[in-house]
Amino acid sequence: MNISASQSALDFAGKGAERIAELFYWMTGGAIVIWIVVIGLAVYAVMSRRAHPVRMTHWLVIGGGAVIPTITLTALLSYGLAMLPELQEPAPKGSTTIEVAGVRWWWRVNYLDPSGGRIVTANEIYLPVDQPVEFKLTSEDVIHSFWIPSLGGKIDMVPGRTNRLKLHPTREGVFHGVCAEFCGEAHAQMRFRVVVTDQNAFDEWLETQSQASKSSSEMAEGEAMFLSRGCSACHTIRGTSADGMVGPDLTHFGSRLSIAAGVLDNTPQNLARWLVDTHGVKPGVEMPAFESLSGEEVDTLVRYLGALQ
Amino acid sequence: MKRRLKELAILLTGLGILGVIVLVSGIVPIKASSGHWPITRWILDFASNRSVGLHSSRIEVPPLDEPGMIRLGAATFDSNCRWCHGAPGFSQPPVAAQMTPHPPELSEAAGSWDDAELFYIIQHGIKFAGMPAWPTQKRNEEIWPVVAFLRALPHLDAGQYLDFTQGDGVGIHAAETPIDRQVQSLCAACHGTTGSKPTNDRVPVLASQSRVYLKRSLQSFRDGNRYSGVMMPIAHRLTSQQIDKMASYFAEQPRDTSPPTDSRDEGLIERGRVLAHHGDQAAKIPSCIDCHGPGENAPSDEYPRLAGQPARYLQRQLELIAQGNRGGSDNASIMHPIANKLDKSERRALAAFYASISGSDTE
Repeated sequence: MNISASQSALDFAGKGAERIAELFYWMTGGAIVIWIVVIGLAVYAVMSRRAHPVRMTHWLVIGGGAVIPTITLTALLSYGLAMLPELQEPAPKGSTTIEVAGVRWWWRVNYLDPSGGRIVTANEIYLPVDQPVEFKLTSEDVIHSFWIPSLGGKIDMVPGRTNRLKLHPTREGVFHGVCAEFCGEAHAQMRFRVVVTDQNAFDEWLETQSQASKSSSEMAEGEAMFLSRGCSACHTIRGTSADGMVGPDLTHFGSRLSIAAGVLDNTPQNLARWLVDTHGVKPGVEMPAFESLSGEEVDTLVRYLGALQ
Repeated sequence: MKRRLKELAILLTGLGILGVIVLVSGIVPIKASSGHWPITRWILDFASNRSVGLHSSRIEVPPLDEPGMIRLGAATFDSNCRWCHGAPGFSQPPVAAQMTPHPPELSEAAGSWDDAELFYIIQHGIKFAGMPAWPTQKRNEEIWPVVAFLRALPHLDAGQYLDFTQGDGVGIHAAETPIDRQVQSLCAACHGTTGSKPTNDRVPVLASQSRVYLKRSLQSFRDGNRYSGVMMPIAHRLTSQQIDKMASYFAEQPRDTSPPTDSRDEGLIERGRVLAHHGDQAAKIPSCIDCHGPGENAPSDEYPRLAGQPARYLQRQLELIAQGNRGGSDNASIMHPIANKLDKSERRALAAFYASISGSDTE
């Protein structure tokens, strides 16, 4: 796993995560204040041997046990609620809009083209830095939850409805996204990578994604094997006759950082292992293991998939 | 009272000691050559009759008069049973005749059992009688043709038996080459001499099937990885070279392209066609044609071509795969998650679609 990528909400790289981190620190501070006052009074009550006037003890109990916690919690609640409008606000019109569907156990990603089309990819999301981005989140089977801890809050993906989320990355880098709602056997391995880049690199990436895969004569053997082995029943590679929709689109597979929905780095060794020991890598995954592939066939497929830039 | 109990205890202990002495000394002959005493014979027969009668009482008997069913049963009998029970024109082999108890000559003996009892005996065998269980417990439907055959057995003469087991429904052909002879004696009765006209719709068409798939299937049957009480014993007799030759033989046979005569349910076929071509994204069912044809790209030889297979055979295979009862080569595991997602009506539709197109269709 690419450990350089961040998966910490406190290592924020987006406006939402920054506010959440702030709130976390204020809450921790508030909790410390309440703890000190309540425990301090309790210790004082145990240790003190002299008699106290009744009026004063009433004030200590009511003040330390009710008034101070109420004031602290009200302050935290007001502070937290005040954050909501900004976090809930949709991204301004014209922002990049990305549809993400949770599918056990991967992510179908469509970038909405301003012209109305969809640019299809999977398990990897590129975002331009310092730009608000609008997500439209759905599920194709059970309830999932879409969470990029370093960029912002999480939100459920519910079958039959579209939830929206705005994220606003503020720092370039590679971040982990996860499914945050238990969704079955491979839930913990339902992950994705998020790459935040400058606007130019993002535009270039999206332009590449919008195109069909380039093919060359060296890829012909691999493409023929991909088709004849039936990979095309589940996977699409635009530019070839592979048009399956059951599994992730692989048109630019070679350019992705990870395989198996963020589980392994995209290296030839990992990919070779994935093809024949699919269920060893990711128990429960829908993709069947192709145990009968010979070593040579695996190499051919791995070379071909890696060449899908 | 107390004394009685004491005497009884001494008696039982004495008998127990005697029993242990008899067992340990080995004085009782276990030899088959002398047969059973009449009383032993009677007790064993009585006990096994009662047991078979009781345990077979809940078995439902399907129709046993399907076309070709007796021929299928005869071929299986010839492969699995004849070497102990004999058959019309084949007296009981001398080795089996020296078993205790004797394997009965079945044209008479089968009459004393009803269909369910015969099924139960063939499926499970009989302990201590040398009657083995069916080679797999995963394919019970294969047993009914044998029951149908046993019912017909009293009316068969040697010529008919030979025709059933060595012919292909048309006649017994003169076999010239070794591979022809082998196909004639092992395959033709069920699959037809060219593998293009199976005797019954339970049996797959082999003609023009992918050679690699045929080879892997025979290997899986031989190695016990694909389950069938009919095919496992046959494949077990084959050497690797014979398997290669047989796979090539059937792969090279032309298909019978005459249109199927049975009634077509166009709605069902259309449903199957859509599912086979496009799968079902919502249900995560991939398309069939990418691996099994027919389509623009030729699928890998590792996978079976399904066009023109009998609908019943296909539907049954999908059921077996979903139950985990089919087995097969390394490739079979690819089908498990897919077959699991198909419901009964989808299996029917897919089978009807593939049965409706001929092997030469490319669409």
